[in-house]
Amino acid sequence: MADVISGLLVLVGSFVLSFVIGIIGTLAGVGGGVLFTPIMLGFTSIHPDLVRSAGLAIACYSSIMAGTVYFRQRIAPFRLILLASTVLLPAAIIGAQLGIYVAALGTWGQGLIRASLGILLFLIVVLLSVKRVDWPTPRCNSRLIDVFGLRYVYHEKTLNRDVEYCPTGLGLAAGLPLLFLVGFSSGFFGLGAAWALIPIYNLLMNLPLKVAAASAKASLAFADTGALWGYILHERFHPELFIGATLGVIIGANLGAKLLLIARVNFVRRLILAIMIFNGIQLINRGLFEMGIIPHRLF
Amino acid sequence: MKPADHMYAEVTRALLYVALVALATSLIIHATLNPGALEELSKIINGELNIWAPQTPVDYVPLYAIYFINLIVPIGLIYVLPTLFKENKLIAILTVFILILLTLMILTVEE
Repeated sequence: MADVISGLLVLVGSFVLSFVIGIIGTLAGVGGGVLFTPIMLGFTSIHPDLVRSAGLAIACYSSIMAGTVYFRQRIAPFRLILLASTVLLPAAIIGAQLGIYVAALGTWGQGLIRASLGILLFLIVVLLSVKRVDWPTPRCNSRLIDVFGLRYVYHEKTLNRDVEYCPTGLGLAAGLPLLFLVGFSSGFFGLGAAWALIPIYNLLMNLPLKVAAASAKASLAFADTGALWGYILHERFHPELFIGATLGVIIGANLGAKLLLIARVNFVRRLILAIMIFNGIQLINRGLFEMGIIPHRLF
Repeated sequence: MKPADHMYAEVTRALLYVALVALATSLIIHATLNPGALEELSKIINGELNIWAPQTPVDYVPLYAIYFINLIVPIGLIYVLPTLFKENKLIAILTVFILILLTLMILTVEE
């Protein structure tokens, strides 16, 4: 009976934590998926496979939800995202399979995952701080754009006019290989990837910032579905944790979207960046200890 | 006729709402009818468990709910494939590639 009550507390606790992550992740503009996995890996003893499958589910289902809105409004270019998914999907599947293999190596492998995720968190903080371009001039004269039908128009309410956009041919060619790394890290770490996709879509492919952000959110559904089947195939998930965390983040993210209108977003964003830096240090510290590189955990 | 992106958004939205309700319901059913699942959670928090497979008939309830939500994307893509083929053949071919990869992953689970 004590175990049942303890389990119930874990279920409620993971739901509440995910709910809070969903709210603050949305307020900070980083998404819940990118916070859930590092926090759970850094501060709990739950096996990395179970955390990563839940983190991947959060990223995937949030992305499906984003797609239902953004594809209708044409803020996210469906055909470009399908093109990107031909790279993201195999990469995410490979990442997930390799992640499961590395975690199965034991404490050393799990330490490697934690330490490398800690390093990645610092990269995420840097990328989140990079200046973006709101309205780049569209350059749709590439033949590649016409062949794939990547020219889009949507009505921008804040400007009260139609906005034309398309990726540049060069940006597309340079961006697709980078997408492989993004898909791989999403599958390997069980993370969302808007932090990496927004700069690729905005700075490299020349999409307007709003379009880049919407596209980044809607992109991962296709790739992470494949990676998730990998975790399910290897039975590396637990239904209560998986479902509880997913519902918590999705409900929290919806509430967060409503709070966006009244919250002090800049303060929350700085707070999240500080948490991510602390979380990154904790993950590296714990990971290096588990790998046997440092004899004691520093804290 | 609606464009492929509108059709995809509509079908996935409908399926997602059904799937989220199914997930929530299955969680309640599973936790209520199989207290062993909650006992497993107390092991999970201590890092003693990293693998899960259905043991009792009620375990299949959340499992099938999870299967269902993971089928939303392939179902959505199959639904819009004919329209996509009319809009842009090259993208339609790439979509078939995505569907083949997803199908291979799903079929491996079925085995």
